Amino acid sequence: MKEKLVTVFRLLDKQINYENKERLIRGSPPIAHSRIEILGQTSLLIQPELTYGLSLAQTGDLDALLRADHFVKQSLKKILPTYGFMYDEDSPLIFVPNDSQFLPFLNLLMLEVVVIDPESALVSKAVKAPEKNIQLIRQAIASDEFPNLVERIIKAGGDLKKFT
Amino acid sequence: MNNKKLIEQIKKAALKDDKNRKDIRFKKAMAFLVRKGFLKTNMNFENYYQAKIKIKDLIWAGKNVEPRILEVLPAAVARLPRAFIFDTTKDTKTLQQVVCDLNENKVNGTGFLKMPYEKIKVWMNLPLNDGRTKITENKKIMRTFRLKPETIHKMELLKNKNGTSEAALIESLVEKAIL
Repeated sequence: MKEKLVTVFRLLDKQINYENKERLIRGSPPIAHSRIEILGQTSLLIQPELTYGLSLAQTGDLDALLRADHFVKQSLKKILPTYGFMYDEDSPLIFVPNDSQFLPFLNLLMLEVVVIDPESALVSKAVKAPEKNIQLIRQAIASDEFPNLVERIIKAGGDLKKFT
Repeated sequence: MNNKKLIEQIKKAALKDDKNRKDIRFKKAMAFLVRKGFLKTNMNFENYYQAKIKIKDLIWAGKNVEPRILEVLPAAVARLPRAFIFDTTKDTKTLQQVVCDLNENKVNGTGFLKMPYEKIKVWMNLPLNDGRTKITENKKIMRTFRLKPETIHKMELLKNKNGTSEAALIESLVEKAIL
């Protein structure tokens, strides 16, 4: 999973480089450096060292904020299905809790890929999609691996009763 | 109820979830959906894979352990219909209605156990691990036309000249007309 995503982003980086060379020849402005912020279930699965206590399952959805040129967004959407992923168009609507941290995932020539810290991803799920994540949130709370999880869920407007 | 009591209740429910994760129905469901490429996981279920699987086991696993199973199940049934063993429960009947909507490529269709149709439909276009099943976008759709005999004759001539099928001939003429 992690390796597949690394391949996806390396391929995307190459395509941006190639497009910039073409643009240079055409005299068009080049694509600026891009930043991709991985959120959601993918963020948990690609940080196994921080989420080993959780039983994770994921559809092919990639939730990510693409701070990037239109060309980059379109290229990523075309590459993803070959590797078993689909970009979730609702990604910009995902709730990113206060105090979220973004940890480095990949730093390429034209592309910086970062990933939200697991506790913040769990807070987001607990507040905005409790039904779909009920067992996951219970497991995370019971594991005691995420010391501020309960406090942050309540602070962000989540309801603990939904997980009882 | 104070938070301490709520956390105690959550931990108690988490113990039940742990027990459910050990259930053979969940393991078989995950093994099947992961092998086919509908789900990804950090657990190993390879030993529980079976080529044919009961719909009721998948629904149980989706309701009791992992709701994402319910999100991909209709597309899995629509794309790999021979891999499933059906029953006559209410949920299976609803599932069959969703599968009909997916097969007809409807824009708005029936949801499944609180999963909205638009979320379910996405998985019709996901390339699968075996690479055999076609995605909806590439599937041919049956159409019937009544044509004049002389048009049929001309189509035969063009078909033989180009060495293609009648369907391919019509597709190429339509493409040219659009360009």
